[in-house]
Amino acid sequence: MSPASATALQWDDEPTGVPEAPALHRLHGDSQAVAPAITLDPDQQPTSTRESEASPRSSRGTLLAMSRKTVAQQATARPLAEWQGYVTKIEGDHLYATMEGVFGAGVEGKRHDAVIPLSEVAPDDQRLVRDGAYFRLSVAYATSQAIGGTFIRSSTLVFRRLPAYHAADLERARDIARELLAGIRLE
Amino acid sequence: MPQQLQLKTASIVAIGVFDVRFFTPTALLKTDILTLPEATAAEGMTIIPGRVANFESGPLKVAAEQNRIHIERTAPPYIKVADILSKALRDNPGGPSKIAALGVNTMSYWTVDSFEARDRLGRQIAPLGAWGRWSEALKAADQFGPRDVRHPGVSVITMRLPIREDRSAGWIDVRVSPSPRDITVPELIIATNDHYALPDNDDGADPLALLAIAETRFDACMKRADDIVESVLEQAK
Repeated sequence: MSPASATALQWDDEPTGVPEAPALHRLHGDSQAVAPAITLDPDQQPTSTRESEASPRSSRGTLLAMSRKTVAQQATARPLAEWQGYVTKIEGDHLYATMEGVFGAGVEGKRHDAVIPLSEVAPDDQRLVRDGAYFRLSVAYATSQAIGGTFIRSSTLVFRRLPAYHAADLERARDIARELLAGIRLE
Repeated sequence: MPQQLQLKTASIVAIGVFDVRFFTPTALLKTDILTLPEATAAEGMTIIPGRVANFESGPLKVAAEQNRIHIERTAPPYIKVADILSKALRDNPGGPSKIAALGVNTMSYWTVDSFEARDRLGRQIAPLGAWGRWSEALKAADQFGPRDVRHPGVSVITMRLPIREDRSAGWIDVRVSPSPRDITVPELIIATNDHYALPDNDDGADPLALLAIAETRFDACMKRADDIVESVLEQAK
């Protein structure tokens, strides 16, 4: 593999199937000058779902794009382990939960119960805490600068914000339940 | 320097027809997808009403256009990208939403033992002798060591595995390249694209059918990506 070079930097700028705005003036890799008004052609649908296309494409037609962060400047973290869990009980200042490891050496696939102080839940997630609520607990080395920064081991508890159930969903679930029930034979 | 993950991003990309108004920080706050601190921390914003909604908030990056939604996180829990897409589309049933293709992507930056180890990986996935008459020039330049700017090798290589077992159309792409972040460090980037698409003859009965991938298989996609990355990295030991 060759040393990273200017050529290597172009690796995520491959053709997307949708042309760039014709006169997007790049000042340097991370920012752009004022570009002309956008022309979104509905016939020119993108076909790839690769993530690296987002940065060049998302800036297409930008009227005024602010300087974007480089990956090294973003809030980043090196994941160590992650659990998914759901609340089984809330008692006093604690929530009780069943958790299962989804990522991490020695963690993956293992289930266990946990007691978590409610004070560990972010203020904006407190109202989401109820029986059955799903959450994720991640442990990672976090850093504000990926190169040369100080790594801090941190844990993040996030309650999942999932789509609301709609009446049609519930009715569909009832239909399925009725079909299942009708199929049960007691002998 | 041992092999070590330096940072990892995960993203979800949906291709189709979308109402970008659902993806502004204000709209995501109203639908209870973002918290108030997350919405107010939004920066780098580009909003063109009805056409573009781009912003970043901490580890989250959202880039929404009428035919493409890209949601990325640079820190765990990565499943939030799937939750955001799912809730934004399901809880806004009034808008035009159709997903024609969906990708679950990862990009990880790994340091490896040495430049020589990185070179070993490059040589295995793209041998110098596989380039016809040009191989001679490549081999001649190989006299320059891996730290020399004249050293030949992979700048980017992509391998695709088309898959039909768990999807009607799609593939897994894996791309390997040297990392440009710090050329004094033997680092490489491995990016995966787990791509699901509707079949050509899809009648559009459920325009959000592919959203089920994000809702039920996100962890499995991430696990598969991790396994692939691990197997690629073994070539650099």
